[in-house]
Amino acid sequence: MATMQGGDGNTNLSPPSRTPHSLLLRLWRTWDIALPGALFFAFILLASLLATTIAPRDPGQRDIKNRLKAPSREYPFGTDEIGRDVFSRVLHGGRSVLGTGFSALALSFFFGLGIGIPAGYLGGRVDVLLMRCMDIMLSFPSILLAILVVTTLGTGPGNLIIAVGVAQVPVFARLARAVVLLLMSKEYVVAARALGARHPGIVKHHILPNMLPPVLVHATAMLAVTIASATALNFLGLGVETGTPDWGMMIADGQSLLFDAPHVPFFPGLCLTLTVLSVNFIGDGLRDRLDPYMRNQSG
Amino acid sequence: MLAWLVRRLIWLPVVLWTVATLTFFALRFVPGNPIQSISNQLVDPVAIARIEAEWDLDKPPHVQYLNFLRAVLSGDTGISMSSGVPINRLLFERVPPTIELALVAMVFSTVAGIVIGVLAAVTRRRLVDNALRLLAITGMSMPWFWVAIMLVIVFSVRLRLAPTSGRIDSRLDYEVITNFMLIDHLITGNRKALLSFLHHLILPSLAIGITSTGFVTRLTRAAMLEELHGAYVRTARGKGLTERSVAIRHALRNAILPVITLQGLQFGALLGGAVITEAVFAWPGLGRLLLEGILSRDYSVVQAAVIVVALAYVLMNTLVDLLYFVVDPRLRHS
Repeated sequence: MATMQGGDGNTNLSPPSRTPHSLLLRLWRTWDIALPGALFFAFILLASLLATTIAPRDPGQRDIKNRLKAPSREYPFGTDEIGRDVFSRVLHGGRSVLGTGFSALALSFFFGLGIGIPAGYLGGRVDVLLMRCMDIMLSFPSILLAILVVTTLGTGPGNLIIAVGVAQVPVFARLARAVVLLLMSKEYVVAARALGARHPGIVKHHILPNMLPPVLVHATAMLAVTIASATALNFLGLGVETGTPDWGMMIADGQSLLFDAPHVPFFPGLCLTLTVLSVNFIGDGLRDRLDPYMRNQSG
Repeated sequence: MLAWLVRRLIWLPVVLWTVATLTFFALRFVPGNPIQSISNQLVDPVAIARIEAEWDLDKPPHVQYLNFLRAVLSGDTGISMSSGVPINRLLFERVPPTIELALVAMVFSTVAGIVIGVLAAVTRRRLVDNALRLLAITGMSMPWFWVAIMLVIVFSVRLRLAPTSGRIDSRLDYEVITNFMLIDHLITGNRKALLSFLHHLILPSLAIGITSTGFVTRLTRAAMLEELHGAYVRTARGKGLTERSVAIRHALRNAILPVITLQGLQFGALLGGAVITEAVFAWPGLGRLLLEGILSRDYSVVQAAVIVVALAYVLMNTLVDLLYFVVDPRLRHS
């Protein structure tokens, strides 16, 4: 797609220069706030992946003598009620949060496309049936749907992913259907059908490659939603087991410490906000850049 | 338009029936049942059998289901399995507080979001626009529960300006008529109770309002920018109208459509989805009732609450669509 070439800077009118300063400037002009968002998100991702190496202490290690310590050089984020290092727990918690967020996103992405593509492509009764099912799922607030799924399946990290993922399936299904309907009227699809190409071939060669850019852009933005709802379920105690370092659960535990040690809920929440913020930055910047379909549709 | 409305109204019971059925069977899939969660006090097998019979739990699922449907259709909501309180009473206690909270939060975010969004769209200074845009994204990125806790830390713990939890000072005497406190206290002229209620309402509604202001701001800005490019805006400018009048009387009127949709959907979502804010502030609302019901496997409470939430949500969506006809003459005449 023509719009995707912007990244290498060839389309830019400014004179070519090799100094890093102007390279950054060019990247910024092209990608807008997606750039700082991506950089910061990469930083958080890296920190979580390397948690075991970076974390100064074991996230579960108790130290009653040093409980409820305010942030200091030794404990950058302070310590919690039983003397565990909040900084180390936040680092480890990032893994749980990002892991759940990504997995749930992948789940809703594949099931959403699996429902949305046939609905849009085949139309008729299939379309009505599938979309009515999605409408029914959408007749709940998504956080409630996730809570209902989690209580049906039972708590636990795997079920948390399913719950959060399932709740977002209708969003992807509707989006995929809308994009497919749009693509169906394109000349190349009409031509392929007229030539007698088989359905799976058309979907594979014409529909899928062209629908991925706009859908992926939305998927980026949806990561913010899956991360936020996974943390919310953990906050309510419906996700990972007690004691697991997780931002949502840490905030919930810290709720009783508001008077003595507000730093305990503050730091995990700050990291959560910054993570969601960086994802939203990426989504916002990308959409302005890459998504002519959705922009035309929203009008 | 009439045909559309009729179709929507037929669709409504179908959704409710499906939702009720799914909830009914999902609950019975869940490991654990209401007897087990109250059986700490109950070990006598005879007593357990008696309670099971009373709740239909000894019958096969399809019989339970038919009895359930019959009860719902006759408007008999029954009583809570865990506390024995009539469901009607629970709903009367829990629904108004949630509506109050959602309404105040919506009003706040609609006004603030539209004002900020319009400012961002019409300003000629990029810096101001960018700053407002960042503010909006930051607002919508903050999770409700974290905002709620931070508000409590700052305004309740540090500044001691607002109470940390609850709906009203429990030491106060007041009369309950509709259980909408704003209405009740105004009718009875109970100034003290009214002030206490508003005092308790501020933080929870801010917690929800801040996040949703972010969404409204972003949407308003985008819609305004699009409308400001329209031909009718150029005409309005050509007629010599002031920029202010063009923006507010012409562009905003059209830009407000997507905002209405967003807020309608958000309001519907808040009726059941304010679980988290309600949990932080111990706000006695519908979301918390539902969560408590799920945790104690209180089938009857969960079923009733889920139906109410779905009903409110679907009605709200229909209302939003209807509002479109009122606001947009193009739809009315097509």
